[in-house]
Amino acid sequence: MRKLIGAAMIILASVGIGYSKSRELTLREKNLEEFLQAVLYLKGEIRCGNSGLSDAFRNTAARCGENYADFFRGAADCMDTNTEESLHLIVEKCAEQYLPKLSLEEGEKNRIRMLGKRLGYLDREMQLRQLELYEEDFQHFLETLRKDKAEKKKLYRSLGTMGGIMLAVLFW
Amino acid sequence: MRTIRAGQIPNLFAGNIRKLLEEECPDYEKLYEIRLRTGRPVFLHSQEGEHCLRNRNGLPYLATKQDLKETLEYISGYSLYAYEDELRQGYLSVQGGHRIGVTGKVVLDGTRIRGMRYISGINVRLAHQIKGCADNVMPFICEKKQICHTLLIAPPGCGKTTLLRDMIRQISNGTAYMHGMTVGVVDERSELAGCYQGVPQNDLGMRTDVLDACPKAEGMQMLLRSMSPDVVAVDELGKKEDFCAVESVIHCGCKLLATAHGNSLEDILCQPFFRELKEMKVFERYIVLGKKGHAGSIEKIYDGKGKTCGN
Repeated sequence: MRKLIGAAMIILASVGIGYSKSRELTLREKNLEEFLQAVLYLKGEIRCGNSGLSDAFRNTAARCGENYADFFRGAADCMDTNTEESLHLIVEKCAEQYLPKLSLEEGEKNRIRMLGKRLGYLDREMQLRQLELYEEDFQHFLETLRKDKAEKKKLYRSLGTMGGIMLAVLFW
Repeated sequence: MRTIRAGQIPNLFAGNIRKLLEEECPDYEKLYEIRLRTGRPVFLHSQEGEHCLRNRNGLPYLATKQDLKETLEYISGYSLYAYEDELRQGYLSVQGGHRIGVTGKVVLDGTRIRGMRYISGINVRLAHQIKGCADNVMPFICEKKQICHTLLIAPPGCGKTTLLRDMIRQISNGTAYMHGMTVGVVDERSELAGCYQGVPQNDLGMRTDVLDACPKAEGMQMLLRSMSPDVVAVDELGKKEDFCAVESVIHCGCKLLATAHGNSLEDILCQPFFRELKEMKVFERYIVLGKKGHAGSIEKIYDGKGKTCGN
């Protein structure tokens, strides 16, 4: 009986891991979509409102999904208080502080960290071009993810279940 | 845009200069300008004259290229691109009405100024609200409980804007000489009202409508069409189109308060447009300000015919 319970627990845990990995993909897709949306807001703020970066970040924070709101708001606050830091450092610090909880890959997080290095230089056209580059990059991340998503989700779930069964058999 | 109060002025500057300012603790209420030039001392201009920031060893602190770059970043909130249009005119206005003049290498696009690079000089002109500085002027610009069309004349730095701001406030709120009137202000350079998200940060009175960052000529027409002001106030008349708009203000029955750069009435009348306005007897009062020290120190007040009517 104990063996049976143990095997069931192993299988359940393994299935859980598979499902959580599969859920991470869904969350990553959502996070990428939200960041793309935020980039669109930023572009709008700069193009239509000719807003400075702190205003643009703050207004974006008010509109974008809650996952990025703290990041944009935090960066805007730092810009307003003139903390004697470069924009690059400000954005990087805020990214470190607010983005770890997001289900993004390290490369994607790095791109967001670099936002401060890309913005604030030269004229308005330059800001818009930089944001367009971000849009393209994240669009690409999203497309790649979507292309493999269904397959990967199925794989994680199957691996979880099969792995669990295999472990249970091995330990039997 | 950010709210910058006197106490926050040091935050506009690069770290090195900020530290020196914090050590020196100048009285920002009395300070007019802080000037930074690459490789030169940092000068502070106040009522008492000018002096420079000094290191701990007593030597004048020389501003570096990095200081200017950093300062410009803080002033523009890391967004110099948002000030492109203003920068083309050689200045940018920050919240609170402070004006930052910049000099450097001008970038041309054909014959048109596209922007500025290699900024080598920054002049932070601190805006001051001096309530009551127009008290001495008010009796002269009121006639039969009505405002006279008035032109304030002074060289830069003599307090034209400060005086105009207080005149607007008093006219809007009403004084012993007249009841309160609706005043429309076209604040092209955001100096008069120092608007933040459309709300004036300086006190311009309770019956004042402000068109912020709007070109004067268009702004005057817009105010006439939409806000039916009793008085229209603008800072620094100078362009040809401003004068056409002035005519429509006059013909609509509104009163006009304006300022212009000049040393004297004669100086102003050398300019064809002002001469034309004088011949048309548009302005009923000319107030000439001088450099006697405080903002709004009056040198002469003339009536429409050019006769002295004040001290």
